[in-house]
Amino acid sequence: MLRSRLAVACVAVLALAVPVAGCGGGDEQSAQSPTAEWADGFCTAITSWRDSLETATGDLADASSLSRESLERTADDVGAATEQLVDDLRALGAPDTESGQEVEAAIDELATTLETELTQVEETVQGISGLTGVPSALSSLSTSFSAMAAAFASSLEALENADVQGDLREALESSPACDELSS
Amino acid sequence: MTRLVAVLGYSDGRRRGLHPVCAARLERAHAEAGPEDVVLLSGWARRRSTGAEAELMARAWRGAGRVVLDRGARSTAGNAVAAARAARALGAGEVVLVTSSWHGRRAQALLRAALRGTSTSVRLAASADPPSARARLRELACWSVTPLLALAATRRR
Repeated sequence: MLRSRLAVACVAVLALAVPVAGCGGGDEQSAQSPTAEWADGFCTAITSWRDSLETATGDLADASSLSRESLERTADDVGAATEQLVDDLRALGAPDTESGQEVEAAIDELATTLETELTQVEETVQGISGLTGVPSALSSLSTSFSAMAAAFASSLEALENADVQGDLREALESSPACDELSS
Repeated sequence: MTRLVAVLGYSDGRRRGLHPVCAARLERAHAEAGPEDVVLLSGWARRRSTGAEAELMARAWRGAGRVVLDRGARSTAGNAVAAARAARALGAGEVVLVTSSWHGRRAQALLRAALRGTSTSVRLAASADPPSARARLRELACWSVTPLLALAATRRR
């Protein structure tokens, strides 16, 4: 049951969006609907977050070993990217759909979980004492980041469940910004 | 200089044989591997009864090259560490990373991190198997832990 829900949620949010057709020249200006704008904003926020984490992973090339400093830097990078994501998601507000309020509540819950875990990450990093504290800090950080990953999965599921009419799914499938998530 | 072709396994714990996703990766690797290459087949047994992904791939291997197995990798980070270890041991100049297109971005990021300090280059050879919705969702969520896993890999070299 859970697996099938996850599958549906994934299809909705990370939809294998078809490229926008009709890209020829012309004078027509296409005005986006509020729902389409919301879908674009949602996928742009997640894409930016993923790209920031990819860059942070690449920047670790400088780290020669697992140390307090490298842990701090990793926590800072993930923290900054995730804080930005929380801001971006909260700024979206509710989509203009029948399930808008429920979707907003699901996203707000995700944002709250991410903020809680980030606070925990900050406390963990501040509490590292010397080299001996690194392994336990690593374990604690791993727990926090895993909780963030789980929150993502469950909030996307809640988002899909709320979208009974499929309005949001349609907007996400049509959004060029959501295409970026497929790569 | 030796080239390492690293094939990342995949299984879902539900079937005994080679998962179609894994078979597609193996097919891609067949087209990639040459007689001088070392081919690393990497992946654990999600269940004892199913056999390790590495062993299932080895049984189905029809390509060129010298095959070595890594039965220990339980995750993408584990695959990356195993591939980096093998590349270091061989003095490989290039690692050809064979995995699904939807998995390649994160796998590459982790492998590059695991290879830090070397001049080994990484090239992605992606199979075009369509991701299940679940796999795609999991893939996105996994980015939360990717930088930390990359850092943790420094002590598993």
